[in-house]
Amino acid sequence: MRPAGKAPLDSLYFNYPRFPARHVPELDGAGVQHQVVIVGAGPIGMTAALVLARYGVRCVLIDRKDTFNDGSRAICIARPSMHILERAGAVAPFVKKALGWRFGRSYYRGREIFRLEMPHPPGEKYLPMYNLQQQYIEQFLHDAVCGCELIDMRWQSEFSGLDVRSDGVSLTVSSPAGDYRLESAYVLAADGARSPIRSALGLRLKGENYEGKYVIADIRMDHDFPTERRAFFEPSGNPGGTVLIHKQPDNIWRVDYQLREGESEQEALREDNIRARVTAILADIGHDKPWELEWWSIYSANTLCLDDYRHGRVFFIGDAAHIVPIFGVRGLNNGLADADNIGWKLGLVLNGEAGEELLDSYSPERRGATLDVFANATKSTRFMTPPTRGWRLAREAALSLSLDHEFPRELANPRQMQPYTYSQSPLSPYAHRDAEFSSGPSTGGASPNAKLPDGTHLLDQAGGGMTAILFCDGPPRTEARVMLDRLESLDTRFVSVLIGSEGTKTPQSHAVADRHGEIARLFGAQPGTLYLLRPDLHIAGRWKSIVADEIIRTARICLGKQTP
Amino acid sequence: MSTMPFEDLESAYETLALAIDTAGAQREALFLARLVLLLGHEVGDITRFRNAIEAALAGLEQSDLGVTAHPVLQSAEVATSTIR
Repeated sequence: MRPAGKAPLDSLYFNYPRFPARHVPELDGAGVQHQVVIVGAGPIGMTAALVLARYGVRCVLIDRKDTFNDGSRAICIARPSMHILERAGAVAPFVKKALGWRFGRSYYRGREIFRLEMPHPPGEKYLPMYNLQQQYIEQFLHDAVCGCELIDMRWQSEFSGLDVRSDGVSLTVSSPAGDYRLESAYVLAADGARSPIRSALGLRLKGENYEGKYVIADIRMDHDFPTERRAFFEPSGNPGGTVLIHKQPDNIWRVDYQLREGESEQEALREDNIRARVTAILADIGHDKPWELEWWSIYSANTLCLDDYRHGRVFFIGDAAHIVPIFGVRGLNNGLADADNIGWKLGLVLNGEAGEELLDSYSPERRGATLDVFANATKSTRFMTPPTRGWRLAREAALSLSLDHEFPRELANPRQMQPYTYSQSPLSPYAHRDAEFSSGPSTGGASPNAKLPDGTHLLDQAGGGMTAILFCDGPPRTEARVMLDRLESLDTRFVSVLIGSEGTKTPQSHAVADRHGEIARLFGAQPGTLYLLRPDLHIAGRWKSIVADEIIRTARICLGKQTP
Repeated sequence: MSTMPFEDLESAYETLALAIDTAGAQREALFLARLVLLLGHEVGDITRFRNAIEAALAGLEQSDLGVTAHPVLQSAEVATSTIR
């Protein structure tokens, strides 16, 4: 919602472009067979289109609106998402505009009780978190989409029905230029929390709703405080409700505040009430200068998802598949991981580089990650909006003890950087090899990064297919060379990174010096250790020393050339 | 599991009674919740903590503040009728 007298897109800082409906070939009766149609040009749909384009796959991207999101919703972009945006070719404007951060503070009755410090190992390329308004996220992605001739972007084009067959999907689309049918091999439903595709297929999200309600308001003010997440429990500015404050670019601040139990939602959303509450909250943080109201909305926590993220040739990505509580900043980030996951798989399948079976792993992997997020988010949500007297009392006890004791303070941790791992993935059949390692990242986890002497990073070397990181103490031995050759013949995009080898560089093989053994330490590796990365930079498997048959089999499974 | 000598237990009992009165009826629940978190942290063992919580919950069925205040009425029959 926006202040009285302002139109829905009348923003203090963002000029909304308006995109016309285009006259498309289908309107002239052209029977075009598309490979992929993506419904919904939000951050998730646009990212999926860019990931597909990276694999040379064309898509049609439709959206019923004529511009970006009205108001900012998602504002936190986590490190793994920055890697996704980087590989999608869109990260540069994000780095330039977004506000990176890694610290937070939690207060109880005005006193600081917890200092959040998100891990930031020295080898990482990106900070743990970046704040950026959703409109900018969409604008930057849209700029990349416009620069990509493989993406056929169609605004003001509303999905109005579909027919899913075993050999393809027909969609009906309504636009001001006329109604038409779209024929596609696959459909990605990125059409948001109220997904019309989900409804059309009679599918329902299942899970929990939480009672506590939060107002989220964006304001503009000149306020001197670093980019940190601030959480206020029992603040005098909002008695009986928690407050969260985040900084965004352009002097915009996000103020989230919890409504008191039994408070009327309708009353709370009135502009005068919003202004009064925000003024009180700002007075509490020492801001008594003027401020301007940009936009507000209301929110209650849910942990909801589909039983299966795939319905034949339709894949659900982002909010269409799952709704997660805001407190873990997982809505956008989880959705971007969906887009990346289905993007590389579908990209390889449609290029004939991977078998169609690979697509079967999308739902177990991403739904598994969602359930993982739910477990953490449920803990955060119970802390942020205690559902019963028992939870309220336990929180009050923990918070009040935190004033004088260290031990309960961690309970106020918002758990924002629990990285997801595909630990139970069908693509990782040799996860038990983890037992051979005493350190380093586990199978299914995201690969750590390392800074190289020339200023680039280890993961910059990774390719669009499988990547092997092999630790050496000289040129690779015959056994290793034979195996790398086999991987190369299996996967045209295969890249090997030889750590500690003085071997020569070829397009498929990069030698990286590790003079002080820092990279080997990071991976818990010894000479002969091999990590096999998937295209999304998650670890498909790791071996203390080469077990060629297991490595080849893992690669074959990741490429859909073999059943798990 | 370690146990307290009887004199110490009696002293703990008296200290608790006095502390509940000091906290006052309004803050009694918060005080007890804080006490449990502190003691739980001291115990440092989640199994023993859970066992203690279970034992305390289970015992509630046989007891009620209204009954224990009048020792004469402490029969199982009366106690059952006072369960909320």
